[in-house]
Amino acid sequence: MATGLLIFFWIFSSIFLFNRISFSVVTYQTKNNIQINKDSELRSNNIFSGEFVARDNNLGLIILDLNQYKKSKLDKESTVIFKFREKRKGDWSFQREYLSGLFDSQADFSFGFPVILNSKNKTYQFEIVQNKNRNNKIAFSKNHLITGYQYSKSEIVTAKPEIFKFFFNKVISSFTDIDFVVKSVTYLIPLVLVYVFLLMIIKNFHFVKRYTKILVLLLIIFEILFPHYIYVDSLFILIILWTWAVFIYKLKSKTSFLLSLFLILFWILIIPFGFKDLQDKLNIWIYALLVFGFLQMFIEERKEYEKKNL
Amino acid sequence: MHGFYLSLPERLRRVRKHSFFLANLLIILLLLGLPYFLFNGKLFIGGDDTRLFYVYPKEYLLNTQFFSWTNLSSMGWNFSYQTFLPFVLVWTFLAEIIKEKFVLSYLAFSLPLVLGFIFFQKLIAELVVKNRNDYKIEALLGAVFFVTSPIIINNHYLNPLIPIWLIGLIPAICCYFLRFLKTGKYINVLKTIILAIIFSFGSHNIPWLSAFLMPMITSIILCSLLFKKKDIFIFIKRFVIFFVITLFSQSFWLLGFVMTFINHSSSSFTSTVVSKDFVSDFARSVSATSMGSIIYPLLNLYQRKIAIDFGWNLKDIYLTFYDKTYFLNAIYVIILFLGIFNFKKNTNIWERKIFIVLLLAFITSLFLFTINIGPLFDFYLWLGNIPGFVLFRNPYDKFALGYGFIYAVLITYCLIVVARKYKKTDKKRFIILTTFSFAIFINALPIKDTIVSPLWTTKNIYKNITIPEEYLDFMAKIKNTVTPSNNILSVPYGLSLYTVIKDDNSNNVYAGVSPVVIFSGVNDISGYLSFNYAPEGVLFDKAIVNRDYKTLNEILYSHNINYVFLTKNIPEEVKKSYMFVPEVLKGQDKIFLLNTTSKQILTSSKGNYELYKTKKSNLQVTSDNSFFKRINRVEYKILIKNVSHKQELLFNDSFHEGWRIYLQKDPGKFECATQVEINQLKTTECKPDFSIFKLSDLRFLWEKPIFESSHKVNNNFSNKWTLDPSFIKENFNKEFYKQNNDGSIDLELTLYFMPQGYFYIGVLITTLTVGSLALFVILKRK
Repeated sequence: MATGLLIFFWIFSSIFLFNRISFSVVTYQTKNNIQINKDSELRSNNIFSGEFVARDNNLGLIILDLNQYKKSKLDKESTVIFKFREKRKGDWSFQREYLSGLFDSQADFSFGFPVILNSKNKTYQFEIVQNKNRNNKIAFSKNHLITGYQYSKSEIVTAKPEIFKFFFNKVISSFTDIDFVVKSVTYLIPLVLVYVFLLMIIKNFHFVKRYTKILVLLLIIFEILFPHYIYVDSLFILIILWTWAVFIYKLKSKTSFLLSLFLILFWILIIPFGFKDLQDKLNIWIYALLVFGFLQMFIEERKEYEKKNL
Repeated sequence: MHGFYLSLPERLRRVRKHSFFLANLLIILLLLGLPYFLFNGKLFIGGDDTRLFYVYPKEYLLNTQFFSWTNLSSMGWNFSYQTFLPFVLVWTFLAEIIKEKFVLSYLAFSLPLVLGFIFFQKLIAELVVKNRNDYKIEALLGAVFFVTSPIIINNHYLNPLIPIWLIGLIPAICCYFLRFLKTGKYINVLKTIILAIIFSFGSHNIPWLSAFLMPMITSIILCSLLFKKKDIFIFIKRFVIFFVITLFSQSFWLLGFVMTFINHSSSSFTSTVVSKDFVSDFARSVSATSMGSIIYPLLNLYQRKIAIDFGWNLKDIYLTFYDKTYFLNAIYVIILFLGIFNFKKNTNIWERKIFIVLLLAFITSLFLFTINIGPLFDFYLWLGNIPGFVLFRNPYDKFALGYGFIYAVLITYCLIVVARKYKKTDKKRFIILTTFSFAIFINALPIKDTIVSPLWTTKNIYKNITIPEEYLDFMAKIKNTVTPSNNILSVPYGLSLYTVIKDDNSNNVYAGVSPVVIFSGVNDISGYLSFNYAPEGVLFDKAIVNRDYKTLNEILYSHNINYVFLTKNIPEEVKKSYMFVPEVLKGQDKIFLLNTTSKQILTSSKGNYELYKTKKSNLQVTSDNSFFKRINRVEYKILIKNVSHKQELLFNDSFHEGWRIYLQKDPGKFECATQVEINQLKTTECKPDFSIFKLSDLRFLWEKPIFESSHKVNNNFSNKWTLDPSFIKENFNKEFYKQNNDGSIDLELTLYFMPQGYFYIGVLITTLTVGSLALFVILKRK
């Protein structure tokens, strides 16, 4: 019963709280059928184009991943033009201009357009161009995009088959999105902790010890293999697990500091080779370990002072 | 004579005995000699602070200091510029002794480093409780690590602004504070306030000082849990005494500065800092510039990413030097961690607590200097909501000094821990100290390339010059020709409030805040920022580009800009630099001159500088049948004759509520030697009657101004009052006006900038604070 409730809590908390756009918008990872874009960077003479098949009705937006464009002081503001149409339907049915500054520091960008009611299984095309003589280095991810389908309020709240359809689509689309899954793990923590607690009650301490080690290792491997996912959640999980490891193995502050020193020296070694994503990760890990180590040290010192009345 | 006959071993023993002193002396001499090596006898001036007050302190003192209403190549605004006063007074005195300009300039360059070097060692001596004399070498190396830190050198010496003095001031204040904390002796507070008054530079230093205090105070508060209640109480008590007295001693500028926040007006310094544009710029600036990581600061190097992204001079130094030597700096990290791992066993209880405070301050300042650490980045953006936090919109700059200093103190502490861990004869200790020294030496090698760099966005234009005699002579001519109540437009008009003065013998230039007012006493408008972020800045640029001479001439007239100063010898590479907007520069050609000026009135000896009169002249103060004379930057005497109906009085400088008019007795006694008379304006400007201060000026603090409710903004820029003769007749006796036969009256008014009074109150508080504390210290000693 408790397990069921916690799983329910995990799924529904995630669905309600981790929405790319809003609760009423169902989003799907969608393949971009056009793979001929020479360059993902939007230069003045380059057109970024895309084509995809809509997976549902009510198509209203597409989201493109950006390669972390940072507007430098030297960049002059340019205009980015987004054009959209159904395939083989002549002229562009929708066109909108955006200032390049809007792309500054964004991980992704949503291009919205009037909702298309009967969009399911139809093919759509879009183009993105930058106005002439500007070379702001806005770059899109080439291979896939996210399409968004807007359900109306009446479809969601009325007790018709649509409500089940909506929730079914919402769950499927959400849990097939790796970004969402990573984020949703936060709400899985209560379930994990309950199990750990139960295991401790039945005195299976070695079991817990062994699996904590495996969990930490798995997470570190995951972080290295998927360095793109730098989110509060993964860091949060890492900190929780590290705290747990410190508790289980009775680790002193020196361990955290030693680990951070090891990572700093490792970082110094890899600087010439680039590995930007890994360096970004190390940046967070090392600092988190320094803070963590300091907190441990602080607690250790305080305990000692209290003990010795210093 | 005895020493002459000493044996060699005895001599060596004596040298060894004094080796620490000799090493200190050698390093101080090297620091003093550094600018001679860097600049080859040319002046090192320019930038946002001009640095001209180091070279021409007297001119600076006379033409820019003392007043709360400031025009330094800008329209007037309320700013406590008196913060420079003590330093400029000291430096003026020094300039009477040291006649060579470049020696003064170089001394100003080296002195902060020398002070930092000396006081850093004194500070370490205060921080070490156990056997402090055994760790002088570590303290000396730590001091060198601090003053030659690539982070500090790049951030503070590439464009040495006022905060370079904090390199000396922060260790000094920390040292005296610790002494006061330990002993309770007030002589340490007295020494602090004397140093702080001379090198205060007030508001110029606030961001960097706060950036240092932020991690320190955070750390002290959090670590207070490690201390006993009794110790915390003593700390709080002495902390409050120390800093309250220091704050009071800064009243001469601080009071006026605080009042700009309370009496907020559109043309005050604070209005810029809290303006919507400034605030909204925070997130954008932080996002654009804080993309670095913690690795380079940990290696005691400046953020590499920003140098590369923005094409700074440091980019080339990284590519050619630091990218090849950075691994050597791993020794800093190793020493840091050796300190962390061993401090428990090698320090006593107080040192342990100090170590923890320093470590937390270091970790905090590492974040503040880097910002880009995962979710902490958003946390920093959130901090931007705190009023005034926008000052830290470029953390790579503001937190650099604080970080460099805290890192230096911590690493010195770690060196001491290492020294205690290993015996004096231990090879490991020797290797660590040698490698540490070697790393410092290697890191200091690119100092010339860092400091003597080309003007930004140029490749061959350097910033060390001797100001040409032609320029100085021309400024003297301007001083004799133009009264200080006018404004001059400097052409080419640029992006900031900079001007360019070319060296006589090279293409080197002075590129910094226009010094026209420093040399001639007459204010100029030299670029977009001269309009203090007012809409005219944009309008003026547009009008030049669109050749809209009607608008241009209207702005010139309404802003009392009656002269145009043309510089003709600016190198082409400078014209293409960041200092000028190409379209705006292109618009400032012969056609521009033809349409904005009426005649040429001055030419310099070699023809590089020219002065023109504008098409239409205005006056600083205008009203029908009026005469005015300038007393100083904050005071004007005005006589208005035959006032029979309501009439307007205009004061053509930026609007500020602090400008007030006061009615004077006996208007018949007003004397006027005509300087300029403009019939269309029905106004005569009398010869200035300069006076810096009269005791009677204090009365403006309590005297009631007149027509305050009619004080309005004119032309979206200047000040306007409506004078009503019937109000005068009804509310004042006949001493205050002269009744004419036709029923009209003559009035004498004083136009005064009231916030100037805060400066006088501040001086009084400062004097009382310093005087009473000095008296207290003397009496206690007896």
